[in-house]
Amino acid sequence: MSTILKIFVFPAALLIMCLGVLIILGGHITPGGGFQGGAMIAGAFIFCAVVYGLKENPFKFSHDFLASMESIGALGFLILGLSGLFFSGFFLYNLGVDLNQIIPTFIQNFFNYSDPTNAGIIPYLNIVVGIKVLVGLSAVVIAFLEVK
Amino acid sequence: MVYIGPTLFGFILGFILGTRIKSDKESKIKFPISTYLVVLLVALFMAWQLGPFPYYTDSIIASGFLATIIGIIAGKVILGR
Amino acid sequence: MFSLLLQLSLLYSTGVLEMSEGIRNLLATIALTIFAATLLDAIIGFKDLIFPGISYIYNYVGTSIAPNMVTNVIFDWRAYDTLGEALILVTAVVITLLVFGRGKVEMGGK
Repeated sequence: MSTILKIFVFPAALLIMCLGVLIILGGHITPGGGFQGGAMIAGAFIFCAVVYGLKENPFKFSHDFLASMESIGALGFLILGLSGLFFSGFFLYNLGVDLNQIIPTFIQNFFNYSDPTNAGIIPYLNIVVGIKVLVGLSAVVIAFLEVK
Repeated sequence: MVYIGPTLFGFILGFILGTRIKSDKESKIKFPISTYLVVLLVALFMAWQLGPFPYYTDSIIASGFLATIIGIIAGKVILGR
Repeated sequence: MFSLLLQLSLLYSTGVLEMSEGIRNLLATIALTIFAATLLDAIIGFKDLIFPGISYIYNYVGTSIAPNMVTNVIFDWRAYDTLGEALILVTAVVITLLVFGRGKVEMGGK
């Protein structure tokens, strides 16, 4: 790969990662959300991995990091669902917006995303799914690049 | 930057990504501290041009963008390998 | 229930007992017809039970939850399907790493 690419790619990948996080965080207002933002962050990592090669990549996702982040993503979704089951009678109940008005105000204020919009637990679900998608796509590309 | 929701979670996500940047001593590719300062200035200009989300009324910059880039630099400095 | 018992007995018999080819085929055919009849009977009167489209009540109250109606439907009204989609991503990554990762991680043993 040429020298111009090697100078340009690392700062550009940092900015693309920040843009991906912006799309995850605005999932309940603008088009986007967890899956799309996670794919953008994975795209920035793959950009670095293809240009620099796996040995000299500034971003290094080790095997333990990939496994633990994937588990945190899936378990976060399930724990939010089970807390909805625990505090009210429904699985994945939106505890920040209380449509049926069956939980006390203290719990509703705790789970609400602090925001001008009244979104409840939807941004937390977006963040957790975004972490899961970025780690999943990066793991597949790393496995393909290591094959001789 | 009055609302703590986007700022806090942008910082956390940037911190997670920043701990994975490693600095290799004997490779030919070196990125000193000045590159991160240039990236910070460019990110500040980008956040001003992007603007806030449609229903937010607190500031004229995109607060999640700036919090993420600060989180990446903080992650590299504090827990970088 | 009866078809389930028949299928379980078929699975068990393929491993342990010795059955001839013809009896095994006959049992498989009977189990398949009973299972198909049970499934068809469950969806016979389905048209009168469903209410078409998204609920009218959720259309009225949805814009006060979050401005983006698509994210509302994916993560709040049908959040259970999004859980299934996330688990599909986990399964795909695990199987890809299983096929392409031979010899990369030491698992112990000989």
